[in-house]
Amino acid sequence: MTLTTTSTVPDRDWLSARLNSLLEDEGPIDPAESLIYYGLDSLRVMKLAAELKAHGIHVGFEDLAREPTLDAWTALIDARRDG
Amino acid sequence: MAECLRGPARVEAALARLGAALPDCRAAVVPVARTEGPKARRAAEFRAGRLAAAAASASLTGMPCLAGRGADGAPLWPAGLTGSISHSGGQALALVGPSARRAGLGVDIEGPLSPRVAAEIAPVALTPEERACFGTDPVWVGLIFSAKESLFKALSPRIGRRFDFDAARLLPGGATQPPLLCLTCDLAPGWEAGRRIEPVLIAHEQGVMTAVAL
Ligand SMILES: CC(C)(COP(=O)(O)OP(=O)(O)OC[C@H]1O[C@@H](n2cnc3c(N)ncnc32)[C@H](O)[C@@H]1OP(=O)(O)O)[C@@H](O)C(=O)NCCC(=O)NCCS
Repeated sequence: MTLTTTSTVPDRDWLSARLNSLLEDEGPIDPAESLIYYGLDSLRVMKLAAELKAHGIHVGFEDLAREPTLDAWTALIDARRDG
Repeated sequence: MAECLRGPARVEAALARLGAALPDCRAAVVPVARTEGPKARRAAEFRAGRLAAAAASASLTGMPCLAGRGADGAPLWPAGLTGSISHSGGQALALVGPSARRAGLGVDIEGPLSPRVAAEIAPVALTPEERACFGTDPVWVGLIFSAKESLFKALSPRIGRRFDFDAARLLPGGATQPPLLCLTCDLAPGWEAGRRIEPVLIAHEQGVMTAVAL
């Protein structure tokens, strides 16, 4: 068994940890700012959608691409997890 | 159709292929200036894309064009032109053509996928039929992913709506027929399920280049 510092059920902390490694960027992410400005591209969106799917959370690529901010994505996965 | 181009002139060779496949259009590549920080990088990508579009337009019409940006993020083209822009791996590519002949153009470049990333994204980027047919082969996953992006860029501004990666699938080519994109659902009048569109699929050592010309 491996211990990680990130939670395994996708939530806001999981998401910001994943974004920090996907975007290969130091420094904080403004949660309301478009992630496009942090170097997000469609391949990274696709990777994240695939990871979420593997965690049982079905959000389409389009759901993520439509509003690419940490805030919007947190709301999206919260809704899919609880709903 | 999708055999891998080898040798040093990879992007140039891919560009020549793209030009040959769409003789009424012009494509141009411009390197993205190196910058510090993500915001400056995004600005540099945007600029390089516009410069590539201006160069493609100059080669097509003798006049460089100034492409704007629409609310949906799609480029806005001056009267008489249509086109598409993509950037990846320090390069920006633009494809421009005459709007009298082309209802829409889409172009996309992506870097090479590792087998691990290809297997990771295949469940979302590919339909079950595509996975059954192409597996998770990194070149095919890259081509399918990119061809769907090209389709989106060409079609979405035309029909005024967005659509996801399950809205089309790539049918494998045969001895006499190239691989074709096939819509899986009704997107708009004239763009119903079953409609087939031939994409340009080019694999090279630095990744893939695809285009969709409507
Ligand atoms: C917009 C999108 C296609 C960009 O792809 P990407 O690989 O991240 O980035 P690229 O560098 O290749 O392309 C970016 C360019 O796409 C163009 N673009 C953005 N939104 C667009 C739209 N709605 N329509 C057409 N072109 C668009 C822009 O020219 C942009 O560059 P610019 O901002 O510098 O002008 C992608 O993020 C997306 O939202 N895809 C939607 C879903 C999809 O592709 N579905 C497949 C359907 S089968």
